[in-house]
Amino acid sequence: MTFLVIGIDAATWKIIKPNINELKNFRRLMKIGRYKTLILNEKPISASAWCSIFSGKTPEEHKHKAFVENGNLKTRDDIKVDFIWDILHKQNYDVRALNIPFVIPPYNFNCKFKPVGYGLPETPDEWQEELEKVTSKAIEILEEKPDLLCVVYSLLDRIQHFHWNEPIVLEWYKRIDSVIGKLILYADKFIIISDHGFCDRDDAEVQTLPEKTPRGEIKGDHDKEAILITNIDYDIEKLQDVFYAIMEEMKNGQGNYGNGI
Amino acid sequence: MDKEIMEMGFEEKVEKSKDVIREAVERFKDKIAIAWTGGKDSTVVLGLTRELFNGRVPIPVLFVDTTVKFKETYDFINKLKREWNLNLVIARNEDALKKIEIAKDRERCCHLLKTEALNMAIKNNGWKAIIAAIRWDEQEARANEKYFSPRKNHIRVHPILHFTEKDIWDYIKSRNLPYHPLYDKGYRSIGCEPCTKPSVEGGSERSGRAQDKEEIMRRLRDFGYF
Repeated sequence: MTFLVIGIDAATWKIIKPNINELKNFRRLMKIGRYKTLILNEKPISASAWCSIFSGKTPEEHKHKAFVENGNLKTRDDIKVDFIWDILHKQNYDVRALNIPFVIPPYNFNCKFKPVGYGLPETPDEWQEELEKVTSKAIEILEEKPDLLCVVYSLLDRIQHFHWNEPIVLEWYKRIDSVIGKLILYADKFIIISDHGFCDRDDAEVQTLPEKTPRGEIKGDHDKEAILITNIDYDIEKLQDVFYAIMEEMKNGQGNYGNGI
Repeated sequence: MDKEIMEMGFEEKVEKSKDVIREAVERFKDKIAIAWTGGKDSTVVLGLTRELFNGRVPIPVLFVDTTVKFKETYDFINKLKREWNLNLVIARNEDALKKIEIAKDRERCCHLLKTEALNMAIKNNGWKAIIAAIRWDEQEARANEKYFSPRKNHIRVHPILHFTEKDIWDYIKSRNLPYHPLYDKGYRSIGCEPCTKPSVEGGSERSGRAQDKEEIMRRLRDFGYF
C-alpha cells in the first residue's frame, strides 16, 4: 500500500471550485474522498507552512519562518525538528520526500532529484519542466511501491503571484489536474493539500513580496484558506494534523505498510 | 557505465562487489589497502569486505587525515576501528599542513592534503592497489571508471561502481551497518568541515561541497524576497 501526499503550493478553491468541470481529477477525488478548506491559524508563509505540515509542529515550535534569514539561506540543518520521513524511516518504513519547499532548494529525502530552477521556476518553460520532472520522478518512486511519498509542486505559487486574475492561471491548474490523475493511480490513501490559499494582493493576509519586483508586478498573494482533499478518515483541522494523520494511518496499516512498527 | 549491471537486483550487485574485492585481494595480496573516509560509501566497502572475509577486514584501511574532518568523523572512525579491529593507517601531508592556509585555495588544498597524502601513503607502504568507494552515478566524471582503473603509480579498484545512492542506503539498512551520524542531520556527502555545507537539499549528492548559492539568491531577489 502506498500513502501519497501531494502538496500543491498556493492551490486555492477560488480557482478550483468555479472551474471544477474543467478539472476532472480534482472533481473525481473530491467526489470519492472528502474535501474542506483549512483555515490557517498562522501566517500563510510557505517555508513555515510546509514545515508545519510535515513536522506536526506549530511555527512557535519549529521556529522556521522564512527561506532567508539575515541574508543567509536557511537549510534543513537549521530546523531543529524531525520530519515525518525522519521518524518513519527510523521505523523501517520506505519513505520518500520529493521537492518539499520548506527550504530553497526544496528538500528531498531518500531520492535523488535536482529541483528545477532551485525550486524557484521563473518562466513558462521552467514551470512546465517542474511539472514534468516532478511527475516523472514521482512515478518512478511510486513504481517502487514505497510506504509513503510526499511530493510538492511549487509552480502555481510563482504563476499566481505574477498572473493572478489572468486566464493563464486556470491553464496551469488544468495541467496540475492532469498530473494528479497520473499519480493518484498508484495511491491507496491520499492527501492533497496546499500550504495556503491565494487572493488579490491588496486583500492578502500577508504581502510576502513587494508590489514591484525585478520580474514584474506582483498581482496576487497568500491568504489563509488552504485546500484539502483526502480519502482518509482522520479529522484534519489544521496544517500540523497532516503529520498526525499520516502517523495514524501508518500505525493502523500495520502489516500493510512495509516493515513498519 | 554498464547499464546492464546498474539494472541488476540489489543482492546481485552486492555479490558483484564482493567478487571485485575478492579478485583484488587475491591479486594484490599484502600490497593493497582500502581507502576509508568515514562516509557512507567507503563504510559500505568495509562492510562488504567483512561480509566476504567472515567479519574481518584482512587488509590495511587508509584514512587520509586533512586534520579538518568533522569531530563526528574522527569519533566514528575510532569507534569502528575498535569494534571491527581495523588495521587503520592514518596518512597526513605534514609538510603541507605547516605551509598552507586550509580551504583558502580549495583545489590546491584538496590536492595537497588528499591526493598528495594518498600518494605518499601508497609509496611509503609499498601498495600496488587502493580500493576506493566511487560510484558511476555520483558525478559525470566518474561515469567512465572501470572496476580496475590504472593510475600513475597504482591500480584503483572500484567495487561499488554500480551502486546507486539508494543501494548504499539499502545495504546499510539490510546489514544494520553503522553509519556516520551527520547523515541523520541532513548531510548527503561528507568531506572536510570548512568545505562541506550542512545541507543543500535537492541538489546533487555532492553539491553540499560547492553549492552555487549565487543563482538561488538572484532568483529570490528577482521574485522580490529581499
